[in-house]
Amino acid sequence: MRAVQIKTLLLVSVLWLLAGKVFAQPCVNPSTSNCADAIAGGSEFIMSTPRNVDFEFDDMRKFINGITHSGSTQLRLKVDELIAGSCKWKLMMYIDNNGHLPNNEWEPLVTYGSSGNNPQLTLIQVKVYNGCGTPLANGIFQVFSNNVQYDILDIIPQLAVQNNPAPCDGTHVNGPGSYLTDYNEYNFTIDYRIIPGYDLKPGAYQIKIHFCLVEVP
Amino acid sequence: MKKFFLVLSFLGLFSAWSFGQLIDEKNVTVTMDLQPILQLKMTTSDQIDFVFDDIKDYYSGIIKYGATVLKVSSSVTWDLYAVGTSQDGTFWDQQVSYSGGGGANAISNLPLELLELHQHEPNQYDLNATGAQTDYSAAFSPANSPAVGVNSIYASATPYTAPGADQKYIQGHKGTVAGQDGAPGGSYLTATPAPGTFSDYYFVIDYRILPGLPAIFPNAGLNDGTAEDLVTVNGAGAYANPGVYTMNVKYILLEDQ
Repeated sequence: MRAVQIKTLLLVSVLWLLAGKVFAQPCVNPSTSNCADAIAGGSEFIMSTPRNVDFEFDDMRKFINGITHSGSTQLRLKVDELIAGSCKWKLMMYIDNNGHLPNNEWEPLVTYGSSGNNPQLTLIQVKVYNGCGTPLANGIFQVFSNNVQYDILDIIPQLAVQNNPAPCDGTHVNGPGSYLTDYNEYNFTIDYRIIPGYDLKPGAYQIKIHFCLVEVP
Repeated sequence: MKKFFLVLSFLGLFSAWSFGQLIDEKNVTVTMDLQPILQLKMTTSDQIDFVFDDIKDYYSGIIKYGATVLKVSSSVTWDLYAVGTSQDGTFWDQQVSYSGGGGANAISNLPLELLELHQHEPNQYDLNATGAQTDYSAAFSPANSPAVGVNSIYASATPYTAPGADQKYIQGHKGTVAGQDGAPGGSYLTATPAPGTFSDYYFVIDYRILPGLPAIFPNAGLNDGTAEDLVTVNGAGAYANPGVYTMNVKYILLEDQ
């Protein structure tokens, strides 16, 4: 009986620790430890730009042409490896509407009228790029096309091979390195664009975009 | 001993899951503020003068073709109406009286409805309108064949109160049934009209005043056909007092309601 209690306690403790460590879905813990961690270790994941991006549509021209915020987010990476030749990582972004339902719409903060449709998650366009073109769809505006909370867009995908800093040829670099020495491969710039059109319900809406850096096996 | 192993297990797990792996996350909050936009652009003159100084002008009236061009841009569903108004909201304001006030039957209270409008293109969102005329798209009647109230402007002393379902609108109408009583958001800048027409966001307005002779304004009337010509209202022998009169035409663009 006592042994069962201890096992139960142990299981609960492990689950609690896991729950405390796991980030919002789908940024989940890796299964390997070949890279130094970015919290207490030598790796770094830096976002030096503001954490708020505001789009204010107060003129018809903006509804027609849209608003683009260029370079609003910059991500800088420094990844140290613990086991030589085995450290690989991926970088992704995913969309979050703060749990609002239906889960394909922006979270409404306030509405100014009753006519029109609620904006959907596909409204936000993001463009990721760097000097060497290492991201997937480098320099191209993309949408979260599955139109659902936690929809993912890979920036550097999970690859079977380790790509170390290359001669700036567009390779998806995913090995150890630093923005300090390889700026154009370990720095990522993100633009945001919204073209609302005319059929949306006036109001203030919000979403979050998460950027997740995680080691991969 | 068991306690010792248990603590050891906890420490081991803690170190393995908390500090040994590369995982980190950054967040950006995106806020979008969609403000309701209603823009009405009038590029034409804000003064329209009708000078009746020839007998044929009285007989045939004066038409000002294309005197007003209206261009709409809106981010919400909208209605557009014209309203005639003045100091009292009923009659033209007499600025100057000629001929010492005219004779015994000279009338200075000229109804606002004597002004006639004609719009291009017709109202496309008036499905639930109840009036005899839902808009100003009817062609001006021949001068010798009066059409009472058909093109008469909607007049009101409270011009910012939207007309009822029995009155004329230029686009959209009283009510909020989707697709029936209001034009959808859009802009004259991007809307593509069918060949030979204007889009739902672009209007050309013609004006007419037909005094007749004697000057009783035979077409003046309400939208239900009630005549407001000077004889009907004031009795036989009435005619307009010569002078200068003014009135104000407002074009009101508002969110569908």
